[in-house]
Parts: sequence; C-alpha cells; structure tokens
Amino acid sequence: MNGTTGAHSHRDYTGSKIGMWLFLFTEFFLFFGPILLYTIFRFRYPQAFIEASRALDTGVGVFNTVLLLTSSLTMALAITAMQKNKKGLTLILLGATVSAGAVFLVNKYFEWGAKISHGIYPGGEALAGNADGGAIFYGLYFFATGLHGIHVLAGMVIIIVAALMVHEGKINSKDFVKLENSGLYWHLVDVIWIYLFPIFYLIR
Amino acid sequence: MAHEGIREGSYLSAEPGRGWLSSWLLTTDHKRIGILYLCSILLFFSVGVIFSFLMRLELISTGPTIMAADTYNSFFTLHGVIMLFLFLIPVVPAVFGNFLLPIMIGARDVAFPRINLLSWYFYMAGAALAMATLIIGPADTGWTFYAPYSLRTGSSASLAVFAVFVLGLSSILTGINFVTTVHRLRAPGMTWFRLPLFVWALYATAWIFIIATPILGVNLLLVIAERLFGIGVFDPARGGDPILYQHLFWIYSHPAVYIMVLPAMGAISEIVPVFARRVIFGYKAIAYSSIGIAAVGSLVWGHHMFVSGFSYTAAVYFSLFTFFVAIPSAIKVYNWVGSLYTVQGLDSYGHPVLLRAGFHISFFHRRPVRAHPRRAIGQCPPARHLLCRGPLPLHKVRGGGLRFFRGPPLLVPEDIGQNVQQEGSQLGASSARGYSWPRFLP
Amino acid sequence: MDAEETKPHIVGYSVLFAVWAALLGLTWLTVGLSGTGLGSFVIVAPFLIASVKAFLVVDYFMHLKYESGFFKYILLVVLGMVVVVAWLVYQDVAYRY
Repeated sequence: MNGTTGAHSHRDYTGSKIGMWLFLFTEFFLFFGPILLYTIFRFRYPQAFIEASRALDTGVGVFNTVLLLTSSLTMALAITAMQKNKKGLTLILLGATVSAGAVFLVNKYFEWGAKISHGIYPGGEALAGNADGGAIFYGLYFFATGLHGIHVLAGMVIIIVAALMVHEGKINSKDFVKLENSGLYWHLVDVIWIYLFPIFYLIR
Repeated sequence: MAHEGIREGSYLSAEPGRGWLSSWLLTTDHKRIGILYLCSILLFFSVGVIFSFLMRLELISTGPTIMAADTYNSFFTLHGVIMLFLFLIPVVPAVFGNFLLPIMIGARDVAFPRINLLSWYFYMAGAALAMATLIIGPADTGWTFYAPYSLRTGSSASLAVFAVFVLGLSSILTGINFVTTVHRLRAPGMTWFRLPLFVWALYATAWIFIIATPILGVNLLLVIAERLFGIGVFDPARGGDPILYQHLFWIYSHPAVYIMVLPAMGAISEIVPVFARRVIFGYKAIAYSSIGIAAVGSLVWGHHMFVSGFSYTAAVYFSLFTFFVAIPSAIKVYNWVGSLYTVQGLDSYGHPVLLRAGFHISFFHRRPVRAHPRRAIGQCPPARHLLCRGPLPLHKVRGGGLRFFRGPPLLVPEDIGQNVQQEGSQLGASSARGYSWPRFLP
Repeated sequence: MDAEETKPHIVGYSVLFAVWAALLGLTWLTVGLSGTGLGSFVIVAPFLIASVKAFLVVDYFMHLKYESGFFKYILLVVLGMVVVVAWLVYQDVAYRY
C-alpha cells in the first residue's frame, strides 16, 4: 500500500481524509447528545415544546438555513475550482463561504438578543419556576445553537486559514487535501444545522 | 518534520538542532511521546496513590483523624479523576500503544505525528486543570459528577468537569491516530490477520475512544452549562431528568472499562505464546473477540444504573447484553488456556505465566467461569445489593488495569530487544497486588 | 488495502448546483409541512427530510459518493451505533413512568 517507509515518503491523501472523517464522527456524536435529549423531552412535554417552539421566528430560521446551504455550495464549488486550478475563483468562493457564515452568526446574535431581552433564556425571569418543559426547550435551544455557533466560528477560522494557504500557493491544484478537509468540516457544520433547524423551528 | 532522515544514535538522544528539553517537548517521534506519556502518567498515578493512602489513613478511626470532611470529599473526587482519566484510560494505549503500535505494524511513525504530540499537550492541560482544583477550589462530587448534586454543589465542580473534557480531547486524538495508522501504514505483507494481537486490541480501543468519548464530552458540557446558566435538562426542579445524565455518562464510562482492559488483554495475548513456546491458539478468534468486546461492551452501560430507578424493561436488555459480553471475554481466556495446554510440565512456564494466572483469578475467572461479581452484577436483582457496597466492585474489577505493571514489562524484551529482567515484572506484579488487595479486603 | 489511493474525482459545477437546488426544495417542503397538525407525522417527517438533505450534503458536497467503500462502511458503523444507543435509552425513558 504505502511501502515500508510509511507516511513520510509521500503525502497520504486518503489517510488525511480518514483522519478527518473520524474527527467528524466525534463531532457528530457531540451533537447526538443534545438531539437525543430533545427527542426524549419532546415526548415528555409535547404541549410545552410546541408552545415554546411557536415563539421562535421561522422566517429567521429559514433565512439562516438557506445561508448555510448556500455557503456549503460555495465551499464545494471552491474545491472543484481548486481542482481545476482556478485560484482566483477559489478565493472568491471561499470569501463567499466565510461571509455567509458571518451573516449567519449576526442573525443568530439578533435572534438570541431578542429572546434574552424578553427574559427567555436559561435562568431568565420568563422561564423562572417553569417546570413544565418550556425551560428545557430553551435550555436545549441555547445549548445546541450555541455549540453550533462555536463550530460555525471555528469553521470560519479554518476556511480563512485555508484561503491564506491558497493565496500563498501552499494549497494548489496538485495538493488540496487541506482545502478538502476544511470543506468537510464546514459541510458537517451545515449537516448539524440541517437537523437543528427542524427540531427547534418546525416540529410544532 | 523530524522524520526526514534516519537520526544518528538512539531515539533517546537529542534531536538534531534542538536542545535536550525542546527535543522532548517538541518531539513528534512516537517513541518519545510514549515516554512523555509514561513519565507524566506515573507522576499523576503517584499523586493518586498518595490521595488514596491519605483517605485510608483518615478512615483508620472514627471522627476526623487527619482531615476535615470537605477535604476528604475533595481528595475522594480527585483520586477518582486521577485514577480513571489520568491513569487507567491513557496508560496502556497512550504509553505502550504509542511506543509499540508503529513498530509492530512496520510503520515509521503514527499517521499524524504532530497531532500525537498535541494529544499529549491536551493530556497535560487537563491534568493541570484537575490539579488546579486543589488550589482554586476542589470539587466534592466524586469522579462521576452525578447530577443533580454536581449541579447544585457549592464547590467549583465546573473546573474539574472541564478538566475531564480536555482529557477527552486527548483521548479522541489518540484514537483517530491509531485507527488511521492501522488502516494506512501497515508494512507490505502485514495483512489484517498477520497483525499482532496487541494491535488488534489497540484498534478496538481506538474505536471506543472515537465513538464514546464525545458523548461524555457533551454530557460534561451540559453539566457546565447547567451550573453556569441553569439550562434545566438534568435538574428535576426545572422538569429535567438526572437519570439521563447517568445514561450519557455511562455510555462512555462503561466502554472506558474496555479501554482499560482491552489493551491489557492484547498484551497477554502477546505474552502467552512466548512463554508457551508456540503460536497462540485461536488467533482469529482472539482478534475478532477484541472487536466483539468493543461492540457489545458499548451496549451494556445500563448495568451501572440498576439502582438508579430507571425502567425495568431497560434493565432486562442491559442485563442480557452484559451476559453477551462474557462470550468474547471467555473466547480470549479459553484460547489462552488452549495455548498453555500443550506445554509439557508446569515448570517450563516460568513465573510470568503463573502471574498471568493471577490475572485470571483476580479478573477473568469471575466473568466466564465463576459467578462473582460479573455475572452477579449482570443480573439485576443481586446488583441492587452488590452495587451499594462501596468501592469494592470498582476496585477489584477495574483494578484489572493495574495489571499494567505486570504484563507490559514483558512486552519490552520481545519487541525492541532490550533485556528487561523478569524481576521487573515480578516486582510490578507483587507491588500491584500489595497495593490494591490489602486496602480493599475489609 | 482497504482504502486504495484513487485519482481525485472532480465534481462538476452543475452537479453541485443541482444538489443545492434540491436542498432548497426540501427546505421549502419541510417548512410547508410544519404546524399542519398531522399527528406524529409532524415529528417524523422533518427528521426524514433532514436525513435526505444530510445524505445529499454528505454524498455530493463531501464527496462520499466518490470515495472508496471504506468511508461508507465506517459511516454505517457510526449510524448503526447511534440507532442502537438511542434505542437502548428509549427502552428506559419510554417504560419508566
């Protein structure tokens, strides 16, 4: 397969990608926890969860979903562009991806801010003494979207670093596994949002 | 990096262009990282032992003897955190796995040497955070951090919880490295069924790291979020459910038992054929049973929860799966016995094999052959009695990890040609027994 | 041996755009189904649609379709693990009260 000399004799693309996928699995299990808890409490407190979910603005959720799906598209396009050795186009597409992520976070900031100003946050006055499940819905909402937000931020940093490496030529049409792995991470962030969006905004 | 050419001299001499300290702290050589792990793990193990002796000293008579109740609780917690997360979990995979895995499969290093070093830094960071609790404010929850007490206690449990989270990152990176290494870097001709059995065991362990650790990680993050913001999922006062904490905790922490014991079993599978002077009996069965233990062992976590008040239906399933996990374990034991059977005369065994028989008595015979305690804990009703009996099951069964001191010294001469005397193994064995048995007899 | 080195497969721009369009269409569908009061279907349908969307992203954007079988097997292992773990936890919460 690789010869006796091991990894360092040549670049092991498949090995890097296996490592990245294994890492993505750990991220997937990280979000599996809160989603599992959500399904359990959804069946325990159906009415409270429906009420609580109605207070979330579906419009903002849809907008953010479209943003992340589109950013995933631009990320995938960027990899294709890099493989076809179109450096300028790659950089533009990476810039679009990072911008979409930034807009997503700004939206999230205003969405959270609106809820917090109404006292709807863990420990807030609107949920104080609420043991019928509404507090848990928002507890999970803030925890899961917050954890996801941190991942969006991390993904943006990774893509910016990858873009700098494209600019310097360290990532090029012959050696693009780092760009592919950055893309894999960004797509995972998108996949997680694909699940978080319906469970908080749509199941009502 | 450091691997472009063959270095002059041994791997212990300083790397070219680096001083002594930086060639240790910045090394990406798997052997040096293994030694870094060895030294740091032994250091923290000694700290854990000191805590345990202080606690036993405190218990020598009634009333406060040498410390107050709060201090005792914090020692109890830190002893558990150190022994589980700083010692038992990393000790065989991170030390002997890092050192031997690439050598055994004919690779020059692990797949991601720099990430390997990073995992050691995560380990040290987690250890530093755990130690920092002594100064900043100790936790009094016990190493399991059970909700709802961990949510409400005034002690600074968050820091200890976060320390364990960081240690989890270290495990995950090690796991990713090992799986990728075994898949990608085997030497030509090193097919799956020529892999040493120790490698099979490490491979199964690495998968447990990858699958189970993040679930503990998110559970710990939930506890921290609960303490900081009160999100309510584990807090009955807010409509939450503390038993769900136990689920997410044991989904990791039961497979963690197999993280501790699978590599030790792998080591035994290497040692037995050497002293039996024949190839191991039932190679494929032992190889598959490692995977089988990892797979079935991931489905038995509920037997830690028989006394928690969870549903009887679940208890039945978990009890059943607990019986199933005895099958791959027994396959290993009987194949070891089969390997020894053909040897003529007991005196040709040499004492390492007799020591391994001690391994049987203290751990394995309970599982497939005798009733106590594995099958007893597997059965729900007696477990409700047995599990209420303090530290006995944990220390007697998980003390299996202490066989670390006994087995791996024997791996050393076999694999890298250094002559470690048998006395080393004997000393390790008797000190492990001398350390663990007397204190838990009463 | 289990994951042979293959020449990287370049996914065409048009394929990616088509997948994106399908993802937007499925988003529209799942939003439309929300709050229609179809009983437990309201809970199951979003998970099914989300899984189809996730499959599209994983298969095309993340190039799983073009990877060797090994990547697909380990993904199946992980998904199987998730199903079994969730099932066991439900055995507790469903029958406790």
